[in-house]
Amino acid sequence: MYGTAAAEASHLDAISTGPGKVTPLRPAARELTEQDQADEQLALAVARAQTGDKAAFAQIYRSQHRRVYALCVRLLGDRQLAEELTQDAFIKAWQQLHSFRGEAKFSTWLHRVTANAVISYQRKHSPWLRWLKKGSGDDEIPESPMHESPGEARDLEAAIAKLPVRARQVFVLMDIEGYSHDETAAMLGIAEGTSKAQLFRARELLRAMLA
Amino acid sequence: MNQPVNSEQPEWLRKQLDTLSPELSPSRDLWPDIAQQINRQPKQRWLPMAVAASVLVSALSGVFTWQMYQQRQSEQAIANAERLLQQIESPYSQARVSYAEQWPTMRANLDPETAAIVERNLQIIGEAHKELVKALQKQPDDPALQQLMRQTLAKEIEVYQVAENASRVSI
Repeated sequence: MYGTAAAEASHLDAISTGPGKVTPLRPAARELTEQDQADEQLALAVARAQTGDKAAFAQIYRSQHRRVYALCVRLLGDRQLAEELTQDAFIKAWQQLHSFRGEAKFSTWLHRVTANAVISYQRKHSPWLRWLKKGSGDDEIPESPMHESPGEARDLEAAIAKLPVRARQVFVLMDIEGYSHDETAAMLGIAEGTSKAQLFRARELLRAMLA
Repeated sequence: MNQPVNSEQPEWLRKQLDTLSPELSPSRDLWPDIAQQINRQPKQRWLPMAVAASVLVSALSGVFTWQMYQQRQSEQAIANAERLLQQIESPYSQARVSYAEQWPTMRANLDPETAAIVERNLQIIGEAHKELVKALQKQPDDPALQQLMRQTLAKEIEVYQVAENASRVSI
């Protein structure tokens, strides 16, 4: 695990400097930021959780759930539903934890699990979502912004929630999560060209809503 | 979270994305439900596997039982045929064994031409006997085959008797 390796590297640095000396060999590595420490703790918790330690998984949940929830909210545009999908994502993460090999950051892996859980849900419940949203589905993407009252979508968060499902998925995955067009297309099961068109449409709708 | 591809994002969007918080807080504690689910998992994962295993065992035992049944049926049929053959051959077997043992002596007392005719007849009867054994193993209940077998065995005895009489005349 990279967290353990980092701890070992830190220990080696201390030995090499000798007793009483504080001259760091690698100054940048010596001054661990809060983020570095959090990453290291997370890596250790992941390693423990992979052995079946549920307390360690609870620790992972506490450190990651707000980011996971944010991703769910943005993909779904519905805070209540996002809470259910956040739970679902963590349950799936627990089930698939053995497949995490530490090749990428754990948070990257967890976000991928979350995105896949939400996309899968949206695929299964698409007709219901369209009915609930009264026609804001993929086939009925509006040409003009969806908000009625000026200023309602001054907030990007609110504007994202008003995007049509497919445009919102592509925008969140690409512009917020940083996935590429081919990764996004693969996750959503669409053509790369469709991903590009939906991103363009999403940005245009957002610009109009936030103007 | 991956790093967004900022170079392709328009300026207005980058500014907006900077205002976006990386974290949001749910309205309630979501952990208790998650904990409940992951604590229940081992049972859920174990049960379908157990069901699948029991179905597999049942299916395999079914196949095994069927094969055993088929084999037993086949063995039973062969045993029945063997018993039937013994019943048919029983009245003739003592005479056949006796004549088979005497045949070298009888042949020596016969002129070669007669001995050759007798041997050719015995050979034909022997071939017929083998074919009838095979046929009766497949269809042990066929009365025509049973009758043919009796006639064949009787004919064999008859040939030996003729040969015996001829050898006495020759002496």
